[in-house]
Amino acid sequence: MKDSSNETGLSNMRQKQVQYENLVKAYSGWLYRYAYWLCGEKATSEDLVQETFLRAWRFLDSLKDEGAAKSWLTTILRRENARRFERKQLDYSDVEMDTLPSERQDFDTRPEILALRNAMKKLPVKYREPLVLQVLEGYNLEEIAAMFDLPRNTVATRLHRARQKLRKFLDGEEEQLSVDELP
Amino acid sequence: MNCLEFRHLILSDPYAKPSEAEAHLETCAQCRRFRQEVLDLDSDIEKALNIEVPEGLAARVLLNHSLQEQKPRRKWVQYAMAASVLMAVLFSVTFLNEQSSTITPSTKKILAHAAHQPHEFYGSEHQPLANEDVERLMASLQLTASIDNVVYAAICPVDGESAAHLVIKDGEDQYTVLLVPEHSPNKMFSVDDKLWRGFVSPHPAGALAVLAGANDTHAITRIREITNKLQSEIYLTAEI
Repeated sequence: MKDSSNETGLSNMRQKQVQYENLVKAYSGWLYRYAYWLCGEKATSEDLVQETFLRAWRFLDSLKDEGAAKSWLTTILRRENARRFERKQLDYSDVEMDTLPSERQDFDTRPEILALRNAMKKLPVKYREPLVLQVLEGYNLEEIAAMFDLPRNTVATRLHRARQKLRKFLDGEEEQLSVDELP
Repeated sequence: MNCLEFRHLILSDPYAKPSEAEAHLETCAQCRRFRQEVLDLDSDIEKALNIEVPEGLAARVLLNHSLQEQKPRRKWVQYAMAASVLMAVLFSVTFLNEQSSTITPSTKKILAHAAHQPHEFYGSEHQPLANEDVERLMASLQLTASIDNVVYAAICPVDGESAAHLVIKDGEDQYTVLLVPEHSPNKMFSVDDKLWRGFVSPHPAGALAVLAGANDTHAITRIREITNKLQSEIYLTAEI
């Protein structure tokens, strides 16, 4: 009887391990890109991905719907990033890591894409973040609103402003953001 | 739906196709052009957002996970401690050799990363990890090494590179080891500050830092011995 329950325990653990590995393989790339557009630092992005999956392992049993895995992981990463901001004043990495030079490996290096990438970096994070979710991963307004715990119309307005601002940046009409727009 | 409402809709969700919007498009050439412009912009945004993911990221996540599972659960990083430590690291690193001005920003980052190490590793009992796990971790960095008594091992991003971060137990003492590829200090130098005592030295695979807590009673000669030992125990896999 005891052997049988041990075997069941091991089988559950193996099942959990397989599920976890599948999640890492399927979503680590997306989470890294999302983290990068949240924090703007490649090293910190990898840290955030690592921390997200460590937390995901601990709470994997709470993931009941495989179809919701990506949103679940994305939400964990958002929270990890928020924690990073909470300790920002104590985190030396903001002093050193912001100057990381390694932009050279980004995929598309055509001038218009580089200009757009720079424009994206100038967007306040509250505008940039929903745009990343919508454009890169195809989340709809309702899904983003649920993830951010915001009214749908607020998300729609932020996306509207994000695209307006990008168009202005690219047209050279908006060189920099006013202080009150900073995230 | 009028032009203003249509454009507001398209700027917030270019992929939405409510019947009112479709009806408006049938009758308004300017809004058809506008919608196409926004779709073109989104296509470019997607390319801009699609930055490269570091090679081996998923493997590193899984490797770190498997190593974490073999030892007592710990807090990932003691960020709160890091601030005070940072100031100590950045401003009080003392070079014992003559050319004290040669420290590079990347070397500072190596020392600063070491400051993130959970301090619970000092002064408490930890069981050594299995040698094959350590070898597997080192192999992921194209390194071959057989190192005993490793109580903590992880691949960590340091200055944009994937570095090996180990804690080695030596009797009652513990030493932090960082091997950072693509970093090459031009000579060995000593670190002696409020936080660390140790050496950073050039290695064929990158920079090798061996550090001990400054508050412990580590003989600097012992740290040098460990540095020399690791220099001969860690190889670039391609060299073998």
